[in-house]
Amino acid sequence: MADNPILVMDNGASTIKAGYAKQPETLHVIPNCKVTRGKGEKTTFTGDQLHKLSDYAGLYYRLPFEKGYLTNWEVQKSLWDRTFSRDILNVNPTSTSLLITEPCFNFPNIQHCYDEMIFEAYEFYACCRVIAPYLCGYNNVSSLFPSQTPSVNERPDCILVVDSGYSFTHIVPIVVGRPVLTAVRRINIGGKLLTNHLKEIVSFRHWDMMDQTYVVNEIKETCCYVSKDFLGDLDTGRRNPKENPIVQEYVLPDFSRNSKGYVRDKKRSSRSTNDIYEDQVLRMNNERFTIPELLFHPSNIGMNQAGIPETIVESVSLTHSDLHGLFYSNIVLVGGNASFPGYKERIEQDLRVLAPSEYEVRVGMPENPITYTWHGGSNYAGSPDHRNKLVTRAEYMEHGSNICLQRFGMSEDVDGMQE
Amino acid sequence: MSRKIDRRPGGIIDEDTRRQSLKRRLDGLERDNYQEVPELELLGTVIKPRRTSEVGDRDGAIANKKPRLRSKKEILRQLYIKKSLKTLIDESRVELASEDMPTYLTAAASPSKFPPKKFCSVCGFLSKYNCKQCGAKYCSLACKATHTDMRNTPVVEMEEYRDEAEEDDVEPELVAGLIGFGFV
Ligand SMILES: [Zn+2]
Ligand SMILES: [Zn+2]
Repeated sequence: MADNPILVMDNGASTIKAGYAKQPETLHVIPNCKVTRGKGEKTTFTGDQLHKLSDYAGLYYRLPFEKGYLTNWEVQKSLWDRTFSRDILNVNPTSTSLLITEPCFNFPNIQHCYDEMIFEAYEFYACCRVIAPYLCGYNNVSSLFPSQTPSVNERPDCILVVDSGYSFTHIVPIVVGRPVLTAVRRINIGGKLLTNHLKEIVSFRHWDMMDQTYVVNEIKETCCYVSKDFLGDLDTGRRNPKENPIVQEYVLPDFSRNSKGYVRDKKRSSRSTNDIYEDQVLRMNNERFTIPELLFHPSNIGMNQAGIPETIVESVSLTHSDLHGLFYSNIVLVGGNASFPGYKERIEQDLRVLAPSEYEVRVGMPENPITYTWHGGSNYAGSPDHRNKLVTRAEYMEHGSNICLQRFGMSEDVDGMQE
Repeated sequence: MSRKIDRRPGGIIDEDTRRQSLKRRLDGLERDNYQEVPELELLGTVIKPRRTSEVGDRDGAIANKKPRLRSKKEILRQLYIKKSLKTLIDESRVELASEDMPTYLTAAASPSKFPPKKFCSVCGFLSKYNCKQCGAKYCSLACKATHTDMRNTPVVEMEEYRDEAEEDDVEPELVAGLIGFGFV
């Protein structure tokens, strides 16, 4: 059994991160969607083929996930088929052990579908299914926190994973490798909502871009940042655009000329008007920081939930009081939204105000917050913890989904403390 | 962009309708191909009728026995039966879980302890006023005019309401209200 290759697959709602354990060079990040040009079109672009497109206007998306949970298995299978194909990872399921992530608090009937697909349709040799934050903890987390005295442990006893992804944001406290499920909290804001909201605002204020999700997502990733002084930046945004450091001019891509979108130099734009091509320019002002601000204040669009820093405090308060200090000093930020400039600093800043003053607040962020889970999974693969959870196909065929429920479950004490 | 709003011609949109509009708006932000709100969805959630003969193992209790031997074709056919997340959540019976068992439902983050800020529905800066008819926020007469122009023209004449701007009687920062371009 030790000889079977282990395929690590962080199957996210936005991207699939897949590759063989201990072989980071095999890691692929593949869009988890199928795309056609307009609804009902025949030509389909699956996963990585999306990169082959030269015109990203008017795309029609089909995603396997709905609100963060896997509901469309037909779409998911075609994306996994592509991922396992010779073109990408060349997987032979019957001799491969699969380590796959699932969302927090996945529903038992959906989990049953995972088991059927993996063991009965693909016939994987073995499988282990865990939540993504659990795998984050198998990285050298201590190295994210520079300190004078190097830590003996690569993995601190307590870590608090803040996973802000495509569908939602989860705060997950982990004690000695075990998630404290009673203290896990979810904020219903993720990257998809932010992109859709930006799309709506831009279409209302400037250009109709409702059918240009891809382009608006690029604008979001290029222009948006997390403000360290929200009210101050709102004041600045009111000033004359010419001397306003917040205002950016984003030149929209022109697919007929095959050009990419970019932020142009404001000083140069005024004198180059005799260019034969008239650039379509989108002026980004408060949109740059009010969009990511939703992660900190969902109430700004009427959602009745607290944002990330307040929810971190809520989550920590639900753990054993002896552990609070350890959680506040080992906060790890992962997921696509962590890439917004200023994200980490803002969480640190807000937490310093909200957390009890006797605790040190330390926030760490890996170099690549999108693949950090995969790398944790790669380390985890083959460990004793992994071997204890593994279910083989033979076991599944003997005991059914029940054995998966038992082995993959995260049994734990109520507040993360042993009695 | 023009979103359709449930409203009686010329009437004031009531609290319930505003709340429903907000919910639809937030749901809209979750859509994969969020372009236009289909007419049908304005009338409420459309639930596809289920073919009861085809719902096998995915319904009810999870199999805790040997999987039935089935052809791959049969397995995939069952897996491909499309169900909305709402249906799947209902069928998971997660709401029946015992109180001390953490689930999707118990994990939702609590409301903020701080009052929401209010933003102009037109320009996105902080706002002080709200539209009497639909509750949307605006910050200035210029934005009010745009708002009236863009949203209300089909139903009410812009002139009619120009002077009905009401200032909130409390500091903007202290009032519980909303939104980008929405409704209270
Ligand atoms: Zn305004
Ligand atoms: Zn109005």
